[in-house]
Amino acid sequence: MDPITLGIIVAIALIALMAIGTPIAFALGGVSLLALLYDRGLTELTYFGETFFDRIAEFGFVAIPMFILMGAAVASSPTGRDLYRSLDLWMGKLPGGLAVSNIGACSIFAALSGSSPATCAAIGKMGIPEMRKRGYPDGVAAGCIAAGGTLGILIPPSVTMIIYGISTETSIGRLFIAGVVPGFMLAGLFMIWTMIACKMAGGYNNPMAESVERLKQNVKQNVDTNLKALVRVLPFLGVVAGILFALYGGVATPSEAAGVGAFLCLALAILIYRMWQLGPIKLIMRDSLRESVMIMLVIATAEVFAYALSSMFITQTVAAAIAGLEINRWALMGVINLFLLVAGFFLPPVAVIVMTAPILLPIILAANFDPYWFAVILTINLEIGLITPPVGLNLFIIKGIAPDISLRDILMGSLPYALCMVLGILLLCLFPGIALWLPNLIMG
Amino acid sequence: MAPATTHNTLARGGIIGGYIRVMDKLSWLSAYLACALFIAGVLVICQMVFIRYLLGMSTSWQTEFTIFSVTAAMLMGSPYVLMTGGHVAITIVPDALGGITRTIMRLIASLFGLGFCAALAYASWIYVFEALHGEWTTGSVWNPPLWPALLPMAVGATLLSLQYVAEILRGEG
Repeated sequence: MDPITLGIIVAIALIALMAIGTPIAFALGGVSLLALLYDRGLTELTYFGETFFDRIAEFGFVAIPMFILMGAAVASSPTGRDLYRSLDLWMGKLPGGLAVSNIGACSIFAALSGSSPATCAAIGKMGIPEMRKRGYPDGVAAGCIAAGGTLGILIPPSVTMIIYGISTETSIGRLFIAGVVPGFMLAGLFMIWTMIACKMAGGYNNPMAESVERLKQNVKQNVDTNLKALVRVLPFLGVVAGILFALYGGVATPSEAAGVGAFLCLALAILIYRMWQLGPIKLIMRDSLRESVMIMLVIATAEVFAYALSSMFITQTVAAAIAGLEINRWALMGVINLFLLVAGFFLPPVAVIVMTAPILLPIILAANFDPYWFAVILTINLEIGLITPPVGLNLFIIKGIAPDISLRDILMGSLPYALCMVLGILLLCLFPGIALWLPNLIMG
Repeated sequence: MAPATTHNTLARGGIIGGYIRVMDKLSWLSAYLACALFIAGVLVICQMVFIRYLLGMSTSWQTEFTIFSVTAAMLMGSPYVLMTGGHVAITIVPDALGGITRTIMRLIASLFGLGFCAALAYASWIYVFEALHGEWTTGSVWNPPLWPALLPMAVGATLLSLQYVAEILRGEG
């Protein structure tokens, strides 16, 4: 059987298994095993243990559970509340100030936790009830948190960027820096839309005037509380800054930086927030184990999948066939974007990256696109999937936090932010420097 | 996105109920071991960074130990994650169809998942016994025997398969 036909059969089998509800990791692993058995005969089963172990037991992968543990330590402590308070102090004066400061809090918390759902949950738990209390439209309150939460996978340190780096053998430090400016650009676009939406919603309890009024009344009391909150958050920000410095300076590997970061954040959560009891620590370990195992099994089986495809020359043949089409590179990028967007609608970011990055990268390189710029484009596409149906994880987290806001309102509120992300992708295509300027400046 | 399996807490009697309870306990125990291995990995990384970057000395066993302990943690933790419905799956189609179609789809999905886990367990045990009998080592500077690093994969995959059976029994009963 020729590689293309084989590739089509593998793809159909995988999609069918996922569609009937097979856990993604087991669908990937099972299809890969069957493909390898077809290609090499039944004796391949005796080597499968080695194939699997060799794919998962990598020092680079150690960084993923470590960063997840670090994020879980931050997410389960009241850091989100403190961050929220500190930002409200400075940003409260802007039109729709509270919503804007929520997006700011989301982008900083994204850096601390590296996770979109954790960001959404931590900031949303305080942000959404507070915004609704002050008269913000439900859609804006839900949408800005759902969208702000997606920044978790773009602003460093980001777990999805680490996975892209390992899958494509690109520098993780460089990927992280490439995400910084686009991350803040998106946060900026979200803020602009929020201000416009708040102005449009003039009929409500005028949040613009309200937030200024509230600040005037309570400014003294607020400054005191908020400064104390800021002091508690600063050490966590210090740890993230230290990790980024160590990675960009090439001082330590991502796994070393992540391991130390996890230890320090856990220690800080225990010291600053007095989380001495076994209960909260058990919760942190449980959450990080659950998320790490889920992600690592998807990664391990996707690595076996990539190995199976490559050893049957499917990857190479498909890449060569696409390169041979000689279509306009931007048309190609458009098609790839559409494909990623659709994949992101159904699959979690980690699964999309591990399954597609090794196949897409040769195509991207052949079309003269920068792999670091592409990582940012890929990530933003997957961010859109987090706030769009049918599996938009952030939407369901918001629904969990604010059950009385209808899913329709959450969806309609999030839609303009998804459009902001599409605008962000267009801006990145027009000005690739947005992603590449900072890494080129710092790392040459 | 929804959990792969639903955790039915209804108490069940007989051999099936007993099997499910034993498996749940074993998965919990395995999760505790996984957490210990995870924490060991974090501590050893910190020790390695301290020795390498602060004392400026070279390290020998730490990198390999961390890889093996974290990998072991991920595999030993997988039965617990299956039990608590944490292995991510897309259940939109079966949920939308409902009824008997949903039940059949879920059963096929579970049986396929079980098939993969059982194959992985079988292949892992072969690898462990080969490494044990061949007295294979990792071939690094530290050069420890390979089989202890592989054993958690075999145990984890076996427990995962047995937990899968428990989940199918729990779901279909």
